[in-house]
Amino acid sequence: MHWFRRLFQKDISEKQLDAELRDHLARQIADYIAAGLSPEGARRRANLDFGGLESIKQQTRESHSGNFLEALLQDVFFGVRLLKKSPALTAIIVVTLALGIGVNTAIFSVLNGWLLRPLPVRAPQQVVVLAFSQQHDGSNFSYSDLVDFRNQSNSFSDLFAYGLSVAGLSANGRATEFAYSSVTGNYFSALSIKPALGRFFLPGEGEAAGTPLLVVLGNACWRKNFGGNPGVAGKQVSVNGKPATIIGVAPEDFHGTFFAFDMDGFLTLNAMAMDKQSNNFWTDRHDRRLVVLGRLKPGVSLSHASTAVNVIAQRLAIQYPSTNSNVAIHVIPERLARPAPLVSSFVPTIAGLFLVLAALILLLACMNVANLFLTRATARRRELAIRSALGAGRARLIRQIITESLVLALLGGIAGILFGDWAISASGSALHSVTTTSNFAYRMDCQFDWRVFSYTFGAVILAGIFVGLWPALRAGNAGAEEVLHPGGRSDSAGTGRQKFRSVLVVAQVAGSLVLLIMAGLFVRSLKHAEHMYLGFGPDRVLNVMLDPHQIGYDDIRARSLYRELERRIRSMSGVESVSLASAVPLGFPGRAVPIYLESRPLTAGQQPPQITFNAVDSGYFATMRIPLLSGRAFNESDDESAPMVAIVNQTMAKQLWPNENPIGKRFRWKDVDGPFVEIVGVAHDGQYLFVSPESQPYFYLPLAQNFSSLLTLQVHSALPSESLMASVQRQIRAVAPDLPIVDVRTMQQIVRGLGGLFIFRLAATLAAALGFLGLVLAVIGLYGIVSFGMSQRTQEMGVRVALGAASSDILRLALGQGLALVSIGVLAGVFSAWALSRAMTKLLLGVSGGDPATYALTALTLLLVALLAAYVPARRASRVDPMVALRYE
Amino acid sequence: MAQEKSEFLKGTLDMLILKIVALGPIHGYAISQRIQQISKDFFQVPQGSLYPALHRLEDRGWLAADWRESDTGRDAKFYTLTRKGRRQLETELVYWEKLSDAVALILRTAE
Repeated sequence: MHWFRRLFQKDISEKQLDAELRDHLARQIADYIAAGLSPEGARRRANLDFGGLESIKQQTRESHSGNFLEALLQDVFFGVRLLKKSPALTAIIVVTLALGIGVNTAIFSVLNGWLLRPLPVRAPQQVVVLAFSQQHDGSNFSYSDLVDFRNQSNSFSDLFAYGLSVAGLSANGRATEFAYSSVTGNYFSALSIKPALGRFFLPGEGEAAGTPLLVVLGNACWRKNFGGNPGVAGKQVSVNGKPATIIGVAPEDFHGTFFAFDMDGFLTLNAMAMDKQSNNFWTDRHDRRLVVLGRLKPGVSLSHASTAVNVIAQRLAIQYPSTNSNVAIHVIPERLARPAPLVSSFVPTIAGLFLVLAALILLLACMNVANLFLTRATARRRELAIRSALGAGRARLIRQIITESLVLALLGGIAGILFGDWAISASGSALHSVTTTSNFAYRMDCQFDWRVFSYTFGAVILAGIFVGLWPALRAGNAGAEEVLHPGGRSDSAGTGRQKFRSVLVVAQVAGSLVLLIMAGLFVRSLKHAEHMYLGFGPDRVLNVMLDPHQIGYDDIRARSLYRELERRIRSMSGVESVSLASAVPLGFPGRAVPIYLESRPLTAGQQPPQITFNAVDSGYFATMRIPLLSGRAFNESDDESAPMVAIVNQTMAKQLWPNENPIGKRFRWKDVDGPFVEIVGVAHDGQYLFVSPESQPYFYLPLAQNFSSLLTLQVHSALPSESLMASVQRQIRAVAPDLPIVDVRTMQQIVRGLGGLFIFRLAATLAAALGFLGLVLAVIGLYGIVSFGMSQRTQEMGVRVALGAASSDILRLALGQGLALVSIGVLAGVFSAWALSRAMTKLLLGVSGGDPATYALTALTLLLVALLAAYVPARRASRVDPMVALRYE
Repeated sequence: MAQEKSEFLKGTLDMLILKIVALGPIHGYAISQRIQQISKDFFQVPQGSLYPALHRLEDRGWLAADWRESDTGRDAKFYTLTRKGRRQLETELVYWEKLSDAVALILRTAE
């Protein structure tokens, strides 16, 4: 810390240095006088010997390491002063860097919120998710599995679980929508968080049939629906008509363990066994609805825990071969298992891809700024040469230029953070508008924290060094004699600099082409998704989700309520058909169940296929306009007393009864010894859970034979769906005044939503924005480089014209050079994009990563735009007046 | 010749200073005088080299400095050799001997 102390003792050491040198001078003078010189002569001679006192002081100062900081401050002040002198250039540089840094900050902050920010619990790094997979099909845990793993594992201090659901919560005679997690008793104690009010569940609490239903409210829900009442603990409420007791309120920063959504509250695990379809929840190993998390014991590694749980999984496979064979458990750190352990595998791919694209933008921005810097450095060669002649060392010059570029990058970084913040809140509100009607409150926390700021700071430093390095090295090399020599002309700007500019052109073209190709691929993928046949008609269908259980209706009352509603709505003018379904494609997913074929019993250890189904009534296929390819639709006579029937889709028919007519075939579902259902029809394939290029197996059951109370009423009308919303809601209020409407959305809204095209549109919009930004940066860069190159060669052009070159020759010469560079850049860009697209095949729909049309079109666009950018300055050069050019300078 | 001499001095100045200071506490002016006298005016150390070198050596902890009253009655900055400096000097002397032997050998042999 020697140098540090010295910085603050600067006054003292300055005085001492002065005294020391003056002492030396005095002694020298004394010696000369002693040798016989006159006092005046001695003084003059000594001063002459000594040279400049100040220059010696400066050299001595610089020999101290402590002067690094001092010099840095000097450089910063000098840099700022210089930047203030050319505000326009400074503004352009700062804005360019701000765009580049802002894009990176925004994208990183999303990534940070998604993958890096830990849960607000004690020691979050110990929390892991256990992902359950069976023959590559991912699924969750059954309660019995959880109990077995809990009893047999000793890698975890706690294993706990949650499942998601929606219910009606009635308090003070008012029912509201309640999105909750059913959690094991040890959920809160394992996470080690403290309630804001009351208490949390205790280990084991609520994990048995017949135990009381308890509620912990989420903080936001407590404020919104209970007015932040401090006496809420102990209050009696009802959940789907079942009595429950509120015992506490979660802290403000805890939103549950389901990524990106805010829980209205938490129920004891017995809530999962509430409805009659789940009465075997505690014992049925096929009822897999629990997401299991664990807290690793201190000192237990991830791989150790993983090995240990898979030993248990193998033991269970032997014990319960019909349900548990071929089960593998992946132990994943909680942060990497977002949004859900099973779909998270492609999240790092998307994240990585967009980080690369954002980095490319920054690189393009930096190249533009580097070019501007280089141009300015050329103009400053005189100044630098003079400084060098006055004794500034090479290192000092380099340091000064780098400091300047760092100051610029820092300004760009500050502006970039503001820009990134704006971009995030703009896209956040766009996201909000898509999800605002869904049951779970969306909550993506992209707030900038220290990770985002460090990332941005890193980007700033890299950008600053990148931008300044080349001009700095050139400046360091600048020989004073060469520059200050009166005849020294700009031809010494020479080949090195020109080569650097050529590299810049190639890199800019390549970088922006990569961005454009990515944008093109995503846009084509979106176009394909928008125009693909979904397997149903999404136009003019209104979906109204209801759940009479929420106001305590039993199934008989619920059935008659729905019958009455259908009758009333069908008679409304403009309504073409009405139907009921338990699932909505791309909106509200159906449930996957195991299928057992009559014709092909399972061999030992073989797992039944898990297939999603939808329970629908007789009007469904007409309302949704799903074509039936063979057999018949359901009709009114397919009721509880009639034989059980089913309709399968093409893919299910093809997969399970290959080369056979599936009509008349029978299978069991859910239970291995349940009743057989007979296939009476085959429906057209469609999109069900989310838009995907591969068709999924799917089947339909008659609603009358498989009733549940949470249903979606679907209304197909001649009029736009929006115009029906109010009158349909009026009919519902007329039949059941206090029945909450879970969700109202048009089919088009659902198709555009999270399960539908939203992701494709988001990716396409983001990629297109990045591509456009890249193109603009490349055009500006190219224009700048070409016009500067031309201005440097004005004299040469003048000579050529004077020697008889036509202006078209000059134009060809100038354009030809540009074209060659752009072509190399295009080639490099195509190659890099092709390499990068290998990683994103999973993210594209209906278009391959090497799609020739996209590559050709974007390359052509870029080529044309690049030529235009080069043409303008080239044309200017071709019109040069030889007299002016030769007199130039 | 002046140019070569100053180049030569640059390489050995640190060692010469350490050697002179090793004889006892001494201030900057006296160091330059001593080097000039002993070398019979062959070396003249410019102040622009001497003081940066002194401060550098002090920075590295090879020299220590304190202000004390001098023969003129004024306070002067006296340099002394630290233990670290003494070790450094020994290393440099050994190295110097090897270097000059090697150079001499080449000059003799190549004659």
